[in-house]
Amino acid sequence: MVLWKFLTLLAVGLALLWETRPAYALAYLSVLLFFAFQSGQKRLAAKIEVVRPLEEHFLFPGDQRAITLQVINPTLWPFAWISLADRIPRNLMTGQHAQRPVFSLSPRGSHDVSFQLTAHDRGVYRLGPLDLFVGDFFGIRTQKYQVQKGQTVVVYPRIHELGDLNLPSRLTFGSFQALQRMNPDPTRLAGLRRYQMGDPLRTIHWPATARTQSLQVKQFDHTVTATCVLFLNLYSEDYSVARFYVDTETAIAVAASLANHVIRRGESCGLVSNAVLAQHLPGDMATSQGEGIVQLRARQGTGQLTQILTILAGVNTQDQKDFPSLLTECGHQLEGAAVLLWVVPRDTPDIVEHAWGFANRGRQVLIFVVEEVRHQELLWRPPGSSLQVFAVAKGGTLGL
Amino acid sequence: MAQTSVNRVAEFGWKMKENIAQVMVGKEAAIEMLLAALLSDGHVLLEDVPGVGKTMLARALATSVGGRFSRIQCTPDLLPSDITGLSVFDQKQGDFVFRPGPVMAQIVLADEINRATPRTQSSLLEAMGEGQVTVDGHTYRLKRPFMVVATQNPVEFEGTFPLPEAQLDRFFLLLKLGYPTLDEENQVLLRLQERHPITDLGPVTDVNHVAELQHLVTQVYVEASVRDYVVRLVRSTRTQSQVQLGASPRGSLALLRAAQALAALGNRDYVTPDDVKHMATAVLAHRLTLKADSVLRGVTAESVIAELLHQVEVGAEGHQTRS
Amino acid sequence: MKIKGFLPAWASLFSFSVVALGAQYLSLLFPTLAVPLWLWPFLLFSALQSAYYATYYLSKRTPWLLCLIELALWMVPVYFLSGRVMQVFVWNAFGIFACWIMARGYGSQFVFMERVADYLGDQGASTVSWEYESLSSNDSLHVPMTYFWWRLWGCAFFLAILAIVVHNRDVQLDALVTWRLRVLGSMAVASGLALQAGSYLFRLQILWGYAKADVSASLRGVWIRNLGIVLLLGVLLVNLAPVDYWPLTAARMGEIIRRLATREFTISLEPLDSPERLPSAGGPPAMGFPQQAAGPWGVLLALLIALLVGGMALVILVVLGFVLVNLIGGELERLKGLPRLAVQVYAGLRDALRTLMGSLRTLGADLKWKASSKKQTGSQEFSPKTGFARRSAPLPKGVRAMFRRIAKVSARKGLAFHPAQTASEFGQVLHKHLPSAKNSVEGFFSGYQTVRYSKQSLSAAAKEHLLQLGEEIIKEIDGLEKGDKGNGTDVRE
Repeated sequence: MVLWKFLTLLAVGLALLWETRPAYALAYLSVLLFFAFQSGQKRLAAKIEVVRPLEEHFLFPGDQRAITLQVINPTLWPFAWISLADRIPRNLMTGQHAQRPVFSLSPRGSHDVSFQLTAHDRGVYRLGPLDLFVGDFFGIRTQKYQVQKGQTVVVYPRIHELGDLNLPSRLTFGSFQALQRMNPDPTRLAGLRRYQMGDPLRTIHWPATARTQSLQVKQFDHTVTATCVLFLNLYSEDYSVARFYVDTETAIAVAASLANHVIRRGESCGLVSNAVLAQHLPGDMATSQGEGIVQLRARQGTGQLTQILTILAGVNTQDQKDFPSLLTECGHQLEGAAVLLWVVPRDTPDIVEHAWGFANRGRQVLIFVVEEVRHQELLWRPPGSSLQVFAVAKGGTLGL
Repeated sequence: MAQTSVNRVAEFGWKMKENIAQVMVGKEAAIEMLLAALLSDGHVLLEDVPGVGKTMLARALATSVGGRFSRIQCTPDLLPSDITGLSVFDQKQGDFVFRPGPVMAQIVLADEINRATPRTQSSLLEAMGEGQVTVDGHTYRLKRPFMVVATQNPVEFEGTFPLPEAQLDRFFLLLKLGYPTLDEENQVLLRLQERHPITDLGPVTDVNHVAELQHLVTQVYVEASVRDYVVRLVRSTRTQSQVQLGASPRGSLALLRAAQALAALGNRDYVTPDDVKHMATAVLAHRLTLKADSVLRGVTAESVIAELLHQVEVGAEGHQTRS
Repeated sequence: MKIKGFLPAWASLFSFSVVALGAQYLSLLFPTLAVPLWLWPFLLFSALQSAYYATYYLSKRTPWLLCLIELALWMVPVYFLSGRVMQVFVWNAFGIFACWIMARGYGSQFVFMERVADYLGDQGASTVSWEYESLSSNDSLHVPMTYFWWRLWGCAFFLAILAIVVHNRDVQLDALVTWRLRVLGSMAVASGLALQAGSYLFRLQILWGYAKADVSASLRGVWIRNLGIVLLLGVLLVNLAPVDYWPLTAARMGEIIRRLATREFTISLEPLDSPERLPSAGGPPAMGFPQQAAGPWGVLLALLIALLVGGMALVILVVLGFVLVNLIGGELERLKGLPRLAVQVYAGLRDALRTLMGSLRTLGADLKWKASSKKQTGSQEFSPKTGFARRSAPLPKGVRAMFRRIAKVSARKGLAFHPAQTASEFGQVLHKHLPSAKNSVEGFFSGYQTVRYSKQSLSAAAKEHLLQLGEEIIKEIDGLEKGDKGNGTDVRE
């Protein structure tokens, strides 16, 4: 470029000394091409806008989704070619090569660019930042800009039918004690009693009052919530080194499948795990509590399932907090929980001892073992038992 | 339908909008839809985050109409009798005396309806559907016009009882107000600086007039191709791959009525496909039950309706419609 | 067609204009070296032939003898047209050779550019990053674009030096020569920059192909259109920009030095601007381009000549296309380069003519119908049984028929009426694309809604008014350029 700028100066000098139009033409064009166009394009290309939709995308493994960006030229300057390079994680790429859209932008024009995403593995991924290359008509200079705005794509873990996981296709919960009394449920009339001072007038049963000639009030059953809490052990030391990836992914897939099963049945489901959230989670799901604990309160509905799956999409193993420590720390926060679903690599004696403790306090504990069952006597116990152990199908059979 | 009748509806709409606009800044589209629901004898569910003016809109509507207004604050311990009313034993008379509940008004605001228990909800929804309540074997007819404006907060789940799909279908429209724009919010602050303008709001019409207009709206002409478009649009919700349960025939009827009301408010005595498209999302979205997979993928009922509006043939000139 | 098809044409136009301009200046310096008028087409066509041949057919294995024969075929007629005078022939033949060899160089370079994989290997070629490839990245790096820059700048420098020499010799130029120089100069600027930009796009297309970039289908069209604007600005700049504002010219400095040497120096600027002292000022301009800023006539003439040359090229292409289509028939898709261009130009022109004839027929039928409809009374909707029939479909009579006609006409322009659109949504699209017909669009579509969906029947006058508005909309749509919308198929917005 230095050479061409020197030649431009030569042409300018020539034109100024000998005032002829051809010499001036050369000078003007050289100045235009090697100075004016370059600085103009450099200044104006910075004004190019890239509009990226901000909403998150939620995908299941195998899903394909196109994301569209709009590139707007707000200036009166035409851009000969623009090439976009979006940072798309390899787990979301379609095909072997990164997509490289190239297009031209007219003055005040816009162009829509689509990137095709294919969800390969679970995860919370961030698209972007975006590299924008802008070139001129004559190949003199290319400018590069970076657009920082990103976008989140959540790829949920795989969800399997319970039968595919070698589990009973209908997990049954047994009887359990109501651990907490909640509001009287006006839909469940339990009986009548005499009016006492302080009873709300709204609860007076007028037909009975008329019959008995004394004020009678209605008595309601208390609402009892039968919530499930899913415990996922992602303490890395508990998993065998040889099958680490497959087993941890199996554990996460089992947890996702159980959550799906429970919430589809209309139950409340929460999640506790000794995991770390490696990636940024979209929305208001900041559920990390303390070091290495991820916790989500039990709720019902598809929205809750979305939250659980999103967290499971972003969890990773850690080596700081083991499972018994997690149970000790979080056990006291489980007063409303009636059924505990534990997904662990192995049913170690320590874990089983904790499970008995919870069972004795009126809860039902179902342990799902991903690697190897040690307490064979706890397998195949009658449905409804307060402690049961299930051996989950190995990851290889689940396509992991 | 005579043009003069349409003029009366349009004039009513104009007056109501102007009156409600004294307390509601912006939201013209929502106000228009609310009026369409009133003229179609329908009930409205306002779903949005707290503080965007749901209750204020309902109050302004009730005040402008000038009928009897009542408000029910729904809580988990609300009983059905708290809504419908109950028979109280009068010891002097030695007989039961009926004490009407808040549902016996003409404009009823059910605030945070999803906080009431399903049984209480169903008693209200039954009154909405039947236009009458039955207490202790006696049936009491509700005065016309009767409109329930219910609100619910979509964000909170704790301690709530989401309305079942079958009951959502009883709502004529589901409206989302959304946050105000920058200018609108500035205007809100300016207007509410001293006192709330709702206190100064007066009626601009009366309930008898509204009932009369409700009848007039049903006379708005619907050309066969528009009717066909409504049917095809609603039927298409039943075959959409992302939808588990599509809109019912009640949805078709509601969409047609809403389009009629909108046309009349626009001073037209005939319905165009644009009226149908304009009302489709508000009328149909809450009547769809999406498949769980679709919900997990972030699909919304609004996006499904928008997609269908881009797919279903209007049946205009030069295009053969498919049934 | 790829940009490659255009490049030899631009290269030959540039070669021709540079050689013709150089010859013109030389003939001003040496009057015996005058360029006869008949030589000009020879220069242009020899360049065209050489460039296309080199781009599409010439290879390393082509024997030199063939090139000599090719050159000789040009020289023989030149020899006879030169009156068989050796001195004249040599000068004319030199011009032909210069054009021919310059165009050949460009053609060979295009072939060279395509062989990225030959030099880097397939793997290497697929990893070439076009984004970083620019002159600023590394001057010592040999990139094919440098070749074009050197040629462009070198030719311009050479012509500028010639112009300066002519200027200093005080050669008197008549008006014809001045305009000729101006036109050739403009042509050289436009074709030189077009060649530069075109070859750059060609190189990018090659690299994009290897890198499997997802290139937008509209890129080439948008590029060429925007380049056209840039070229027009460039031509206007070199023709209209001022050239005599700098006080310290060589002549003036020479004058100052002379005065200092002869002790005649006085501190006054006036004498220096006198016409007697400055050879370039006053009288007819000494250079090919006049010293004053050119008026609009220069640009107009340049455009006219460019149009003339373009028209001639078009006629040649059409004739060639006609011959090829009739001779080859079904093998047309195997054609490449100039023959392919000729066939495409011919087919395009043929289709355009057919469309034009169809439109004229429709217009005639419409006029006939209008004349006959005035005689009819009543305002009932159109009945196919009583209406005027044109070929297969009944002629539009009612408002609804007019709507169908508008939809049909706008579909031809890429503004198709989508089945899921309502009439007013379609009206909004037309409104956006026809801002000048805003009132007509609003009036017609509002009236159409009433006719289509209400029970009311319009009065004859209202109906006539709507039909008139419809006609106005159709006229506006006809004035739209096809594909104004971009992709031109789906107009839902």
